[in-house]
Amino acid sequence: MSDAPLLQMEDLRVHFDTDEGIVKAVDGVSLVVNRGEMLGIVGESGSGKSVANMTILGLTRASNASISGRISFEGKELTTMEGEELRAIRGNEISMIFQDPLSSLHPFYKVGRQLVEAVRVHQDVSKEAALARSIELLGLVGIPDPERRVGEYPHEFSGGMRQRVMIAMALTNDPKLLIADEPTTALDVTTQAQILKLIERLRQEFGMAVIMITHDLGVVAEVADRVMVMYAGRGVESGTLEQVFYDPQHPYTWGLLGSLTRIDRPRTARLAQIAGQPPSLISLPEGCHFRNRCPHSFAKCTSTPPLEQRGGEPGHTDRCWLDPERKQALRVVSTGEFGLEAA
Amino acid sequence: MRQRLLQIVILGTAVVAAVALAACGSDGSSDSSSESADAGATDAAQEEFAAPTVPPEDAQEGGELTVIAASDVDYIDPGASYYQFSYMVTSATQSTLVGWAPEDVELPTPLLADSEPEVSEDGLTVTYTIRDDVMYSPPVDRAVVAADVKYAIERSLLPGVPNGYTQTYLADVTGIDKAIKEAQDNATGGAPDISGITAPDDTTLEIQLDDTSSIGVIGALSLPVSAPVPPEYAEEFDAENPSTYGENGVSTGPYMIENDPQTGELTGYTPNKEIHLVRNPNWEASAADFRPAYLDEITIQEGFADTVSASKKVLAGNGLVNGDFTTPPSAIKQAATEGEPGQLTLTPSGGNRYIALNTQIAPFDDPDVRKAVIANANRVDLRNTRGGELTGPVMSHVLPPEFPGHDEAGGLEGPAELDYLANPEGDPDLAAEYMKKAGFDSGKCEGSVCELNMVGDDSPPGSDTAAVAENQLEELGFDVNYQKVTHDIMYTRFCSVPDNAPQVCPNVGWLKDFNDGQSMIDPTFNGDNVVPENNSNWPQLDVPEINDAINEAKLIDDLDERNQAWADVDAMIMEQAAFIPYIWDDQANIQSADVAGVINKFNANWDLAYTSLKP
Amino acid sequence: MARYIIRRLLWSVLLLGIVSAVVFVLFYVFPSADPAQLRAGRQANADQIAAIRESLGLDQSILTQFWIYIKGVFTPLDLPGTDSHGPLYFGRSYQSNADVKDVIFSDLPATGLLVFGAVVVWLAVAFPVGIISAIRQRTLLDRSTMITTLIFISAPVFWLGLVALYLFSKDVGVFPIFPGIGSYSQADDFLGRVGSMLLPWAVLAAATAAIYARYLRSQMIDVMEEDYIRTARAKGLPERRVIARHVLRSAVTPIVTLLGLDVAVLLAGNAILTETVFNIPGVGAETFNAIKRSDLPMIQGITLFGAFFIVTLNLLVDIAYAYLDPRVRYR
Repeated sequence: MSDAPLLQMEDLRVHFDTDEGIVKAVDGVSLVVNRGEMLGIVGESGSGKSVANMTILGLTRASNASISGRISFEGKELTTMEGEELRAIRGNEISMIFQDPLSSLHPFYKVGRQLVEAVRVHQDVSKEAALARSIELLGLVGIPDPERRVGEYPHEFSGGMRQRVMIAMALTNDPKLLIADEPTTALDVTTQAQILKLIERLRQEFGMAVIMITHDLGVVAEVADRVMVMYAGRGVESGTLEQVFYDPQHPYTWGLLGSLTRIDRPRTARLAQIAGQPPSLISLPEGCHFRNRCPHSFAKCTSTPPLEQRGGEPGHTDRCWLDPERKQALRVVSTGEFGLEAA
Repeated sequence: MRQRLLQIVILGTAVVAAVALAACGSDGSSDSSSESADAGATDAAQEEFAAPTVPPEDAQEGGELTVIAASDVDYIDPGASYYQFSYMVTSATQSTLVGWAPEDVELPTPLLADSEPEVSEDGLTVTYTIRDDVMYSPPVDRAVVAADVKYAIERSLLPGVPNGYTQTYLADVTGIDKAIKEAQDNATGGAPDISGITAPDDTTLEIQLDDTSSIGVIGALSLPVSAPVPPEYAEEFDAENPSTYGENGVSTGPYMIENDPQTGELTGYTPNKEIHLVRNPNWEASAADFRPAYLDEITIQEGFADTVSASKKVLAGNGLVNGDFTTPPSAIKQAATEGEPGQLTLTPSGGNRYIALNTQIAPFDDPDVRKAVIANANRVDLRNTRGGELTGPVMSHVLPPEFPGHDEAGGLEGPAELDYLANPEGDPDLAAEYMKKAGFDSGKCEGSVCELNMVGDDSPPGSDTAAVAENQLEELGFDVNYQKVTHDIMYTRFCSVPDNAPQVCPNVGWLKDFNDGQSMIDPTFNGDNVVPENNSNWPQLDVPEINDAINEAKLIDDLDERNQAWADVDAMIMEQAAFIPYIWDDQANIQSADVAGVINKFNANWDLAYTSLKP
Repeated sequence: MARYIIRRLLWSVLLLGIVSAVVFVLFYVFPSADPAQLRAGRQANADQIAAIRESLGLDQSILTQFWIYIKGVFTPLDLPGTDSHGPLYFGRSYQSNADVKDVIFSDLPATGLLVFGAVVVWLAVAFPVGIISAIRQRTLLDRSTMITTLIFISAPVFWLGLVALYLFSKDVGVFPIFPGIGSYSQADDFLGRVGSMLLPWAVLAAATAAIYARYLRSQMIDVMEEDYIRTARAKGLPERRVIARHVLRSAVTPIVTLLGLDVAVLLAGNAILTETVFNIPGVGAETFNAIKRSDLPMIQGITLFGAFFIVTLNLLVDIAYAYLDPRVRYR
């Protein structure tokens, strides 16, 4: 097994031509996923995280979409891959699970049938064998009594169970990479924890890489190896979990961290909010997309900051023109009186 | 009021159609300041499209004819049928006492009877001698006897055999009132006995009358009611109410409706769909039966609601003729211009159409107002709403062309001395004068009395005629409320119910029952016959002199004297100005190019017993 | 499920009773021609009309007549002077005295052939058109099919019928290909009858195919936006299978409901315009005649049959829907 990254995304841009104008859903995202590691992608809605990740599997292709940049997977270029070749990767080498498991499963087909389909589209096996595999998978994801449940419909499962089914379906063919798009957002807190634990366990068991997409920093704080923060279609900061959490370089990241509820804060303390709203993806500001909300923006921000390492450790990149020293000073102000704990 | 634009469009279309039709088939002279020019144009058309009443010399036997019809016969029971289309069938399947050969206009020809009926000196006894060689079709399979005709007449009094004319025309038959009452009191007790009708032996039928109305009786007995019915076979059916004899009827003519030869139940009749006629195996051609019966099979197909497509089908097809519908103007034009000679024929239908004015309520209780309205009417326009010149001449009095008494009453031109009828295109000045005589100084109607109710057809051509009438009335200052309903509702709920009748009934008319003035005038203009329901005297005319004259004419048994008497009554009626007369219909019939059809003038329709296919 | 069906059936019977009551009331409240006068003929006198009125049972109160009618439908009934009738007796036609039930049964084959043939045609046209238009949304093909379907939906059926005749019928058409009006009655065998139905099928199916194509298209477009379609693609399924097995399966379900009701309504006589134009002796044509002649027993009988079809097919459609959409099963 080589050391080369499993997946590499370089300056991905996905623009949609609509009646209202050109929607720049993704406007410069680069990332790297290594074998067996979990990359957390954090951003609010509209940051482009879902679109960027769906583009990996070619699910955003449309007649009004223009996709540029590169996504290479094990050396193969995904943005231009088509037909049989692409289908051989979907659900097989790269799997994806989505936010709402009720709407993501076909309501009219039994769960077993949908699982069997996932098996047989990539493996030439009999129905019985596929069914056996499906039952095995359901057991694997912790669904009790899988022989019976395999004959039930999605609406007969609870929310958490459904998400387990989706995970089972994604794992059918031992994928090398699992993309989980907000898998716990639709679930309650307890179930959330269970699902995250499950994903982590499976990742370790199967040596699978995971991209965990979320808007909630708390989710990735548990399990991610590396983290990327996205804002308005761009990756604005990227590094290891410790780097991003304890040495954040981008004012947006500061805002996210400052607005985290933390158990060690007094309850009456106010959460620091980021002023303003995310910009419309049709009329984005020139230069840094965050500049209209950033309390520290200055003249240079009208030109787009490239994603580079400026301060911090090697491998820790960000898109902010501020001097690293200046950042240190401002960071304390931004993250509130409690500051950050050193590693 | 609301339909103004539509009226103009309809008028325009009618005029265009009239002009188009006038351009073909006639010499195009549309100078109709005098009626004779118009009559002349129509006469030319009549000649060109005259109906063939004689089969070709080389008429061939065999073949199948299909009759295309829009709707069904009224009754399949000959004792009840009272409709020209039904007569098309009965004249082929039955042998009535006397029948109408294709050319008969004044008098019918003996058929079941072996000769003309004898009327006694005092005019009170009518005796028929019938043939002994007329056989019923299977399953009855026996010869007809006089008692069968007696039974046929008696059963027509049953409520379960709703015959609409026997009681009127046979009202003077001795003992009929008692028989009618008996039938109505006991509707399922079988046919009552009419004491005045007797069959002293198998070939003699005697009818006793209380008054000299023999001509009316003989005329009525030329209709299907006198088709013999075997009592031993029919009794069980006539014990039901309504009677089911119709669905099991037997025939005495050259053709029969296909049936089950064991039980007699008709298999060839599906109501509203089909009537299938086959040869009657028990019928034999003879000198006494004038019908040649060339065809082997006749199928009547019903349900062709769109008469335009149906007409095209007949004209373009093989072995087809029209049945109950009169050919619409577009098809007439097509047949006249593109068809082969003989495909289109025009025959006077023996009927008239007029716009009745209710003489019993204001403002039409004033004769001057009525005369004004008639004078103002452009009767040529009204006639043209039926489809133009080829649809028939403009009506000028009651008795139609080719009808006894028509010529005596003034022929096509009508009563010369009546000024309000002198100009068929209307005379507005004369109309204004009459209005002034009626007390409207401006020459137009004034005041609340001018509000008129008119109930007419909701579909063409009736609605077109009514629309034109409405316009013409409004020219005279009337305010017309035109209510549109279906034809049946118009009759049964409004115009034929005196208590509910409006001032104007634009879509009424009368078709003869048989060729005698009584059948055109008695039901329609005799004040004695204004009845609370099913009234046919739509103007509700009730003038004692006219009533007496009608009742006297009914009893004249000398033919020439009688025809003159009816002509005189016709004139008296026209003097009353009770209606706006506008057309004596021609029946336009069409046939496929390979059919050698013969028209029966009495019925104004194809005669199935004379028609053949071209060799 | 069985209890559900039984309950529905009982409701249906009640509904049919209400429908026939409404028809009675409508017939008497709204102006219609007087059947006794029509039957009596034009010179009948008052006594004759009264006698006929009595023999038709019209002299009794509406309630009595209704009660007699209901009894006739459900129980053997003794009417004076006639045989007693078995249950499901719907009276005799005022016009022809034929047994209403027999007449309707003899009409059903023609209407049945017309309707079911048309169903096959319109589904066979609507499905490919709807599916392809949905897949190739906003292309020239899609736009032109949408315009064509709009034309067919807007064109009145009788106009289409007449145009079809004048273009294609063997006797009067410009291109004499298909049998023309009246050919159903003239046909001797089943094949002949089928031949006579070709033009009527096309005409009746035209507008409906257009409606179904548009409906299927919009359903498919909606379904294609669903998350589970995204999942199917993410699983690596070929697009054809995604459309056929996943999209279509969902899009078809409401169409089944629509189809059931359309068929019921057509069998109940809604094909009246097509039947009249082509002279097909079916239930629609019978309705047309019955209304023209104020033939209450026939109108009543046809209405009840129609209501029965609608109620039954409604039930069948609901059962089918539960089979197709498992989410509605547990109520």
